[in-house]
Amino acid sequence: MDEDIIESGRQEVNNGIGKLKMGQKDKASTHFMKAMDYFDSIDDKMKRRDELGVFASLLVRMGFGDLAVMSGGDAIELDRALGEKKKLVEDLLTLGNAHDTLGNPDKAIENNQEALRICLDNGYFADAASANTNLAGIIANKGRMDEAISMLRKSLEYLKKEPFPESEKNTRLMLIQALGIQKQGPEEIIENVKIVFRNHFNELRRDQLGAIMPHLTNAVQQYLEKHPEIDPDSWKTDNLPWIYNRRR
Amino acid sequence: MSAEETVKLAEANPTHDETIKGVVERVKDMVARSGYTDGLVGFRIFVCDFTKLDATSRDESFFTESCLVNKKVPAVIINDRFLLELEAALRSFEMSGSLLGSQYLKSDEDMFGLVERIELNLEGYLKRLRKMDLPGTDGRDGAPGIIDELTMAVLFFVCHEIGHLLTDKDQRSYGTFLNPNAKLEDRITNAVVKLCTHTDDFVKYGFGLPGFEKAAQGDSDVRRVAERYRKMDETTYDNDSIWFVDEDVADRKATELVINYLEAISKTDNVSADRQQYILIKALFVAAIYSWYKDLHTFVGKLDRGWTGNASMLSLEMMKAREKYIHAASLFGRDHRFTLLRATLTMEAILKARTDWFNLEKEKRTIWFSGGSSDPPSGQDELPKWWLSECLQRYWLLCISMDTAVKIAHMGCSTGWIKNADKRRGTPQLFMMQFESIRQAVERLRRFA
Repeated sequence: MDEDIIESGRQEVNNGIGKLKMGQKDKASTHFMKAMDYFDSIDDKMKRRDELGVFASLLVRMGFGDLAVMSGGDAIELDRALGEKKKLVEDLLTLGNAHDTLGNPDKAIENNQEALRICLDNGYFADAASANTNLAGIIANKGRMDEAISMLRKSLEYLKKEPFPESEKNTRLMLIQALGIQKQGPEEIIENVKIVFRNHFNELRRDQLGAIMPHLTNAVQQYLEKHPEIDPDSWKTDNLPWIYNRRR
Repeated sequence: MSAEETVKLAEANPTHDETIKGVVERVKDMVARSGYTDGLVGFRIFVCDFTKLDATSRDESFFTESCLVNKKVPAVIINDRFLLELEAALRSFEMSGSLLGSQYLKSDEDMFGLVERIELNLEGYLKRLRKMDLPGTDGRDGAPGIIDELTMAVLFFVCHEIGHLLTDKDQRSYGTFLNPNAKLEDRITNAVVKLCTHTDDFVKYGFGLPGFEKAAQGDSDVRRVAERYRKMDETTYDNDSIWFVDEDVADRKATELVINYLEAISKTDNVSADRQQYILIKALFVAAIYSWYKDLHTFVGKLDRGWTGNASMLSLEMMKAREKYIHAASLFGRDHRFTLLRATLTMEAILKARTDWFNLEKEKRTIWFSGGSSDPPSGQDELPKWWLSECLQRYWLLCISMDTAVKIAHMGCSTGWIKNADKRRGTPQLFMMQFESIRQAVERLRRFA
């Protein structure tokens, strides 16, 4: 019975994705509501939370913050009831992201702070980094840049204990921008850019590159001004070949 | 139907929804304490569930899609579904703690999606919303509850009906919605006369359309055609005009009554009065924008069953034939002012009565709270200023969002003249009106000082 319900729910999700690809976001949302109704009727609590949790994460990525809050909220209730700490953390992060898209920074902070607490109590350092980086982003948007920078550096420490490439990329990208805005540490900016480019250059989206390039350009200029003994062209091609050694 | 029959029918079809019952009880209490209905002996407010009402009882003195006044009893009768839908819309908007963070202002499709989900399963959707912890409604300082918002909205609707009673009018409703089962307007005479009435109303309150000035000029060729149509059924159209005025009077009365309500509170607690003002304007904003998009959704669905989309698609659809603008007359009331305009006039009247914002020099005016942040302030004493900025943002967003309706009205009003011109020319001229999406309206708002 649950399997049939799950199948029906997933079919509605697929129907919704199909509508979304056709640019029919309104129609997509009705399919997603039907999917949520199916998932809500799953008898087995673990199966129910699994479907709702994954669905919430998908909804955030597809731009349905409101539906993600509904689905994620239900998943979290089940996580607490089932004592599923790791899944609770995942769902809190999803809910935090959903609230962030809805312009609810306080709620987003609350969700991410709870996730962070659970992570640190249980040694989930990769997720701790994600929660901490999310928090840093929200804090940065409130103008508390120096605080955000400290938090991002802390996230990188967590990631040394439990690597998570995606989180590391996002953390470094945010740190580069925050340092650039604060006109701090050109060396730190350059170092972070090198690591991101080395590990993730081909994955970077145009908007992500666009966000860091001005800060990188300024940092390189400042660095070279501080070190007039260095040959700029050689230094650039040696240290940032992805940018300065591109074949046209 | 006699007064006794009306009361019996109303008492036999009460709403079963405890939340709605609670809200209406609060409103009854507020109305009783206000003294507005002291001269109306035996005044009652009924909120009814009409779902099981048989066809014979759907009398126009009793049945309504929204709220209705019945002079015989005297009573205001409210359709509980109207309030349940409004509650669902209010709760949905409260999922975001700030106006511009709202999911439904991100795109037309997001707004249409909300309309569709509420229409698909109102009870289920509302049940889901009711169990949620909404960011804007957790009772923190400055954050009103949904019940407060719904109460203030219902108070306004009831005051509108009281306005009809105080001016001795009967069987008038708060508003009508586009009926998905009814045919769209297809008579050019009706459409042109109606849309010219609305054009005049828009222009009167500052919502003109550059390039279409002739649509509002009484001695223009455009209006001479409209006047010929009007004369074809002068009695009906004159009656419509009288009813239009009556509805305006009721709206003004409602506005006056709610301003009096706020002023009464401010005598002992100015901060509470400012808070209630904020709650009322929040509710009126959602009621207006949701209602407009609901009608727009019904309209575009009837134009093309498979159609879905946004302002750009609407522009293309309306370009296809002159008749589309005739059909679009269905979006406008015969005797009710356009919904967004009603809301903005009410908001403006309340804000002008209770604040000096509109008297400030333009350079000193801003709709944003300090620093342009939309987060509530941490200090209690800053809350009234934040509430005012939130009210002003909603007022101006509705003003900007009037764009589509203003264009449709002006174009529709001109359709008689345009079709004659097509005939003289021997071929229709392609004309495309660019409509603005909700997202574009929000972007324009963001550029406000």
